Amino acid sequence: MTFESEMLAARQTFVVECRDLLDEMEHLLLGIEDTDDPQENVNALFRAAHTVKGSAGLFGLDHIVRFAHVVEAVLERLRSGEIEVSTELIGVLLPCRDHLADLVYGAEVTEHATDEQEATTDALLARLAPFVDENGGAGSGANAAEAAADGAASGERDVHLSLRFGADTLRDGMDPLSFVNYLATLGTVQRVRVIDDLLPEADAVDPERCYLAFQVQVRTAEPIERVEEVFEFVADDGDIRVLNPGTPAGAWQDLIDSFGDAGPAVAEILREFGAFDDAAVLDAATAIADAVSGVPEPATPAAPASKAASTTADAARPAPSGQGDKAASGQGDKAARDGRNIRVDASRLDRLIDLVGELVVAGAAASVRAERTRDGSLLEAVDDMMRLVEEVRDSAMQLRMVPIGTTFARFQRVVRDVSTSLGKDISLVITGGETEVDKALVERIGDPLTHLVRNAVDHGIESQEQRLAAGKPARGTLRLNAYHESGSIVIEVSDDGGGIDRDRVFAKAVERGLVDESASLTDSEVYDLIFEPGFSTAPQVTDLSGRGVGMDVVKRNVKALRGTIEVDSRRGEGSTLRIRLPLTLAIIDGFLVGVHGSSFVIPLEQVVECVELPSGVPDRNCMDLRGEVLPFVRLGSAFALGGDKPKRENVVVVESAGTKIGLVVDSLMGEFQTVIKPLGPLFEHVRGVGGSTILGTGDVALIIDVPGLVHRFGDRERARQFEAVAAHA
Amino acid sequence: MGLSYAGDLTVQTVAERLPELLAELPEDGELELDLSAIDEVDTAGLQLLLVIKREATARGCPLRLTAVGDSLARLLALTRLDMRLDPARDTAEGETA
Repeated sequence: MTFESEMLAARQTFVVECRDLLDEMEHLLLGIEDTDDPQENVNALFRAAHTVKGSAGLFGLDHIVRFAHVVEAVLERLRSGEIEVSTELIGVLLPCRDHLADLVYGAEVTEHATDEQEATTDALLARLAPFVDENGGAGSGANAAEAAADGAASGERDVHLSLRFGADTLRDGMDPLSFVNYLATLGTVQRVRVIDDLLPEADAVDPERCYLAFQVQVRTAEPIERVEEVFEFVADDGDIRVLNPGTPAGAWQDLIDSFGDAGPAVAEILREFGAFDDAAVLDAATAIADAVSGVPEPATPAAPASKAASTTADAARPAPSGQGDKAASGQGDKAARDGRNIRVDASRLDRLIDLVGELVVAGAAASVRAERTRDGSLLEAVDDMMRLVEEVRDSAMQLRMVPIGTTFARFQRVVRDVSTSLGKDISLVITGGETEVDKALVERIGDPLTHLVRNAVDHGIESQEQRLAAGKPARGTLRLNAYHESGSIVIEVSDDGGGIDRDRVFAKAVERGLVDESASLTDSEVYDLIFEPGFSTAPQVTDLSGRGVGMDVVKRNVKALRGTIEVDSRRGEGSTLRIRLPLTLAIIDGFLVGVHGSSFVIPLEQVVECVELPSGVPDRNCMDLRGEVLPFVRLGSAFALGGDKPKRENVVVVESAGTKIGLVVDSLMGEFQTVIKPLGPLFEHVRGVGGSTILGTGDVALIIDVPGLVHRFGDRERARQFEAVAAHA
Repeated sequence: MGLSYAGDLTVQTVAERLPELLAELPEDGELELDLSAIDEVDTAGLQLLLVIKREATARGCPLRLTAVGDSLARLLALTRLDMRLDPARDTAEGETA
């Protein structure tokens, strides 16, 4: 691998790593005003900005460095208490973060900024100017201690570097030796020593793991930050320390301690390099080799040591001085944790899921054929195989599951931006963020959710004056919640606003010709009207308690994901929009039924039970299910299938969103696992059908869209019963 | 017995090389490695040599590097690992890269 290609690979990793840091920055900025201890956020922010800048510098992305440098300088002043957290400052830093993200993502394509980006940089730098020190020296101010240490040792001198790299450094495509080589561009690499204390026995060694640490002496005139910047990119996973000659004893002591058992060897190297020659510390360190009992306190008290040690070391060091063992084990934990996670290209994962889907279909075909042979041992073998295929499918699906929390977290920003622009005070409460959902779904639910959140902030929650007048707290609350419910994920967006004005929605619907004036509708039916396309086109509708702008688009998006959306609302108390989505898009467990010679698949999650259709229910489309009235639909007539009624009919009881209906079918053919193939665009608007699938026999079966059917027939049937009861009374 | 290797000794190849080399370590007698045809050595390669060397010493069958290429020689000299791996090459001078 050449240095060039290493750098290219590393640069891609750079963008990925920075993405996490930038997300973290946004999160921190948004949380900073609400937290009790902003100092912690400020420190983390500073580190993130610092790391982005340093990594960018390593790749020669000067336009990023130029911008990040000033952002970092402002954060540094914030950190040192020279300026304070203010809404104004956060208001400037947020767009700065966005711009930084824009620049970083741009770096994947080109090394240079576009003119537009440069213009934004300049504009933002101008906005940052009031927060930067007058002498303009970014990074000056609070770095005084460091600067002083530098000043004392400016000019050419021998800088000592202690480099412990992260365990995955090699796997990540970086070679520690390249970094050492790269130092040659800053000065002369005088000496390099290898520490191999962590290198295990031959049979326990993982040859691709990085075990080696290095002690390096470089003669250079560059300031210490320049040297550190070379390692910014790996500093987080490793322990990188850069020390000037004349650095106080405490920092050297720390360095020796950080190597734990190898401390004496390191002390020996320091002595050999002449990097540090406090006999008291070095002798003490060497003495530990004999007395393994513990690490004695340093002979010379470590007064301003921590500040003199670089910020990088501060960030990377898990424990304070004098606890080398702890530091080492802390690193071990991190290494172990890193080892448990791998990044996988999403397209490879999708390919795997596709294949598993095909495998499921092929398995089902084999199973059907085996069934026909009535060969016991073959059937057993196929059963075993199908069980494994199911397990493979489940674990493959698990790979795609991600917590929805990251998507939710994005809305902090949306809520903040929209509410500020409207002059409202709204807090966002997130619950159920750990609920897992298919990654493809997460990506596609973002837009509809944004719409709902904006709507709730814009129209759902009243202005502060209205709220106070209604006796509510001035600060509105928006809630995002997620949970699993019978094979679905439910996402709720609720506000504590004024709720939906039922009468006005109804009046508007009548005016629009969507419903008849005399129609008696339930509350939920009225609320559902806001999803009608006709509603969104009316310009006045925006003030109608607000819902209606593009709600039909939201509903269409949700439907495209095989989901449903419903509204709950109470006047004066607020509204809840509930989106129900399947956990995954690709495969379903179905229940195969036959109707007049055709096959249909009913999603198993929605099947409650199967019963025989009692004789003597001639025309009324409802039956008695253990004392409960169950409306049912004859699939044969619903889909206008010709053919004779068989002697015995069965009812599959299905449930969707709390409503039960029965589907009358001819035969029950059992569970069937299948891959959903979407219907062509021509059939997109066919109601009651959610997709198609190929059966093992090669026949096509339609997948029943239960919520659609329940909606279409359940309500109609209930209305009819209601009328019947009313007529009776 | 003697072995010679060509190509790279890097993170891409170490996973294959390690078991190969361990298998080649004789029960007794010494193993001679000719690395003069090795093009590139990275940290993983260096680690590999150290592991093999240590294992060889533990088994009592000394490992000798009969020849090394220029870049490896420079690396070993810079890191002073030449003293441990003892390549048959005059690398007494050359502390700096």
